Amino acid sequence: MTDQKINLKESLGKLNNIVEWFDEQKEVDVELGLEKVKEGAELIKVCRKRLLEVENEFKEIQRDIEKE
Amino acid sequence: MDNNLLQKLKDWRKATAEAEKVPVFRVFSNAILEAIAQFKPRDKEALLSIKGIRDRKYNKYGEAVLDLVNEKVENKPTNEREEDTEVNRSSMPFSVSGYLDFLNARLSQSVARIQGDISSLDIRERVIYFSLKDSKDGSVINCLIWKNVYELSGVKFEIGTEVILSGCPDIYKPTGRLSFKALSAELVGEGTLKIAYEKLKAKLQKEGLFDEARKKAILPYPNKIGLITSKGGAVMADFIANIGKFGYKIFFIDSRVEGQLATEELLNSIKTFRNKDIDVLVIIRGGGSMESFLPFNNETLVREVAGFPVPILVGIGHEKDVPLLALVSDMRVSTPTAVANFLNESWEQAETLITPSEQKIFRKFQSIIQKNKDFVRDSLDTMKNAFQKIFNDFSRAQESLKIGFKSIKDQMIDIDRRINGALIPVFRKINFSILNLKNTISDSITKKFLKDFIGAKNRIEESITSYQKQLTNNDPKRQLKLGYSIVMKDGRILKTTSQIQKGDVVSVGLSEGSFDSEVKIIK
Repeated sequence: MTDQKINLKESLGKLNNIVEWFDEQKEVDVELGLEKVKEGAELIKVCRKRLLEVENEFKEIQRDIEKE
Repeated sequence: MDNNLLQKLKDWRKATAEAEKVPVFRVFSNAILEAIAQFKPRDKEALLSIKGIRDRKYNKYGEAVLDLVNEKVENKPTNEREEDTEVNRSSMPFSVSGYLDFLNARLSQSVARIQGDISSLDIRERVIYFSLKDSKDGSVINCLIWKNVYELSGVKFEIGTEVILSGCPDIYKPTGRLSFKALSAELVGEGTLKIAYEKLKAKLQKEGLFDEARKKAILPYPNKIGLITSKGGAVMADFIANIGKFGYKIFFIDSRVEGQLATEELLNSIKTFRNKDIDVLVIIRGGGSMESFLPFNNETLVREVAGFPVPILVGIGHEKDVPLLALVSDMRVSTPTAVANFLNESWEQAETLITPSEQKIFRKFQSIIQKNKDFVRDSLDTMKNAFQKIFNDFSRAQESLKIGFKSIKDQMIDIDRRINGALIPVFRKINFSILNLKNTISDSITKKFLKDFIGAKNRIEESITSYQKQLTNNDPKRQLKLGYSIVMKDGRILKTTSQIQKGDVVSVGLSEGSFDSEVKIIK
């Protein structure tokens, strides 16, 4: 779960970088563009997978009693 | 505290929990059992005065608990009575210490809540000695409160403060002094509470505990969530109902959120979470009166929240004054639902981030492809147009060449015709003229030449004769013969005396011969 969390955050960051990359380019090299699209598609897949409905875990824990 | 009773209560709780197949704390928490063992409530009313025991719990377990307590309570007097009898019988006096023990055992059962004004105050390192005065008749009772209990109470003791104390009396054996041992203290009335709240708020504000700058950010995509609230309430249900299914790991501690015991439970719950690996700690409860929020305005608790290493998100409904715990927290919203929404927000936004990104990337790439397609098509068109132009130009050139050649041919035919037409008469004419010329030249030239030639010869002969006459008349030697002479100097004929000087030698030519003569006198 922790890995997935990191992945989501990082993946969204990378995805955003790709969007920015496209925004910045004036003349896009088609080959390079295709690479970026492939990478973006993979990231979108990873993110969507993480955002699928995942049941929560619920655990009750005991309070540490602190007595003088 | 009656440890025997506590043990009996724990045994009973264990058996009950096993029978009901629930965790022991679902029957009664340790804190409640300890309170029962401490205060030994003997009837329903006394039992319900213990915080955390309400009608539901009483109906379920009240009778069993009272039986346990009463058994203990009843047994003891029986023993004591026997003891008394024995004492009376043997007339053995109590030792002072023994009697004080005897009294303290009795006094420990006199649990009560008493209200009065603080009339004296002596704050020591671990304990506070004070006296409580009856506001009507001025009766006074000595009191003490342990420092940690005092701090948890959240009440600031000052002379004249009206408080309600819970506890029981006790005689301090070394001095024989009776004191009421307060196990909790609370302020009387909302007005007083408000003053205490404002004072503490101002103090903490001054320390900068509420400053935005020291608040920790709750990072997006929280996963491991610590949750402190009262179990089974509507608040908990709201939270569970609204928290999205994003694979959260929720660690929950059941804690009282109201009443005197709440402060300690909340404090211990938060401290427990200090050692847990969580992304955010959530504390939620429903709304209530200022008095019910007393634990949330507790200084110790507020400071614990301020120093907590992980961001704390608070969702507590409140009426007017924001509880200090909420002010010091890193993020506060007003309902459990809002807390759940807050935690969900970044997860939900993630989806809304992905779709536009996806659309943008593909749209951009599509436009790039389209651009390239357009470029290829345009290039083809340009090339096609260029070649077409060449073909067209060629055809046009071919056409004009054809026309040009035809015109040249026509012109040549025309010229030829014209030349032929024009030249023939010209040549005829030329031939004719030449012939004429020939004739004319032979006739006229010969006659004119002969005539001119003879005329010129005659004129020349006449001139020669005339010149001969003139020459003969003008010959200088003819003059010399007449007696004239020519005087010359250096080959030049002298005409004036200015040409000579005295002593010059001049030559004098005569008709026959010459001589040299020296100039003697110039006249």
